Amino acid sequence: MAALAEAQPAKPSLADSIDPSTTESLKYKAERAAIDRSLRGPVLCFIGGAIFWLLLGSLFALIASIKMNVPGFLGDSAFLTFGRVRPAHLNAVGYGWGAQIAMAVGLWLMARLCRIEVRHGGLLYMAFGLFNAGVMIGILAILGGQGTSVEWLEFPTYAALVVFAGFALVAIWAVIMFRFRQPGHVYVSQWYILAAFFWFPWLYATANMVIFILPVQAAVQGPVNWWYGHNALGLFFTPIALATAYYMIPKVIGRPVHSYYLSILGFWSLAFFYSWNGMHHLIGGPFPAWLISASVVASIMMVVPVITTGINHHFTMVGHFNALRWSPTLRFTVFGAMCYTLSSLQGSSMAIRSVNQVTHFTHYTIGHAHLGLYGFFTMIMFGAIYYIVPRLVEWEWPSASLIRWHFWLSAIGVSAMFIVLSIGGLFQGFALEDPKISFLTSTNYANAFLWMRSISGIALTAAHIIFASSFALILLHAGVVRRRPTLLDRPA
Amino acid sequence: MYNPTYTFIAVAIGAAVVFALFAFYYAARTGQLQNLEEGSKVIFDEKEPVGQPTDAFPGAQPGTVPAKSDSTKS
Repeated sequence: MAALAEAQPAKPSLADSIDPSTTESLKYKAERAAIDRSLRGPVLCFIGGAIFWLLLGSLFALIASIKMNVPGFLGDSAFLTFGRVRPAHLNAVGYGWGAQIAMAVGLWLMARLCRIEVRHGGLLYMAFGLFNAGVMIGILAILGGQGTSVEWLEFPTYAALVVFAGFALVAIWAVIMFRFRQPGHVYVSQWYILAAFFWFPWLYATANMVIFILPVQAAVQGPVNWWYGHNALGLFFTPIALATAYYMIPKVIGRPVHSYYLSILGFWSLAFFYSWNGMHHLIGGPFPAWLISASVVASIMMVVPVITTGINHHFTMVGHFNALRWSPTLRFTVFGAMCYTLSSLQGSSMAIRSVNQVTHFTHYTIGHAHLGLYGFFTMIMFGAIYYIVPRLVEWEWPSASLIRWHFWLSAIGVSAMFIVLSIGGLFQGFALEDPKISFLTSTNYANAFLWMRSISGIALTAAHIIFASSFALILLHAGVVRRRPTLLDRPA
Repeated sequence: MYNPTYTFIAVAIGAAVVFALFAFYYAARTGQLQNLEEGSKVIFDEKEPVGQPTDAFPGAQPGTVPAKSDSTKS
């Protein structure tokens, strides 16, 4: 460590940090603990902020869910009506939780894999402040009736600009870390993270630009909306979660990924096929047939990266499934990886016109969305947090029981939600297709399933409260000192 | 009628394709697509080598199931 300290300049300038050619200091190989120390404050802030929005988003979700059964519930306040609470939930969990935790985990992974300390962390605090201020302004605007009604882009432009500025700062910092990386092979997770941090600001800026700032003709706004909406899932949340799984699974069990060839194939096929997928949301709409057909074909082609990734994760785990008993990180990550395969294959099937004809406009789609964003993305992020935070705070999680409760409530909650929404959605869809059944009757078919959805939502909310409690306790260094904290490389 | 937004869309999509192709070219040129199986081991090092588990429930040694008495803190 002393040698490292000597090799490191006392105080690098901002220019030094942006251009690697201006400094010799990066020739040293940073120790993991030093890397963790350099990221501690910003990453913990992002994780804390994400958990705050997860809790708030869960509250919005519960209110919206109960309203599906009891429409008058909290109906006297305009800001708590379904049309506002539902997009508030979507944006709170999508941006406040999802994008923010993706930034936290992405930054940590990038620093680890590049073996580089993060400099000028103050700018990351600024990014944290900007991003959360933007989300807060956006959520308040939605609740205040100023939402745009464009799904996934409900934030008014003045809030979206602040969100974009915050995210762009983090993305720039990730690119700088990549530039400064130690020489050698670029691990597949780095490709995924780098691509995600490039894709998301590009998607978000373009969609906001052509829908709100310089609006294209109304007929073109639909394709732009779903080009953004679907790509935000597939070109941002998905690569971040896959990057995490490709790091965590081999790292936790101590075994290299089964086939690195397949992992590289999975990345490049995702990069080339996914961006065409969004138009399958518009099947049956007034759009050129070629546009929809190209998207359907690309959606089916997604089977290639999904199967390669699924096979890779499975064969990496073969012979190590016992590890699920002793690793909290692995439990969440493997559950998420399984949901990735399931939700992606389900998504491909839903792009087939005959299937889409039944499932479109039903709760089946909502079940699919929760399987992807929660079962896959969120569960893998939970796993990553259980791995990262002890290394950042140099303290062990306070309670194994809390972790177990968190896992089982989340796993059972999201599984139940997926199953009941899928079955209820199919009932609803077949009824909608039957001209002898009225629309009202078709919606009534889903009522019992919506109650079960609310109950599963309560389980998920309880899981989030337990998780937030664990996070608060570890920050406070609660509990007794462990003989050996979770595999920390304690700084010398 | 000329609409600048279509030009913007064309440039945005074109830039993305160019970026993807550049990234692929860069990866190939710098040898990132060669010797892939060795690349899978870059996440391991002398402190956390292949074969060493790196996670566990609180109170347990890596690679072991915690005893009941270790499962929670007082």
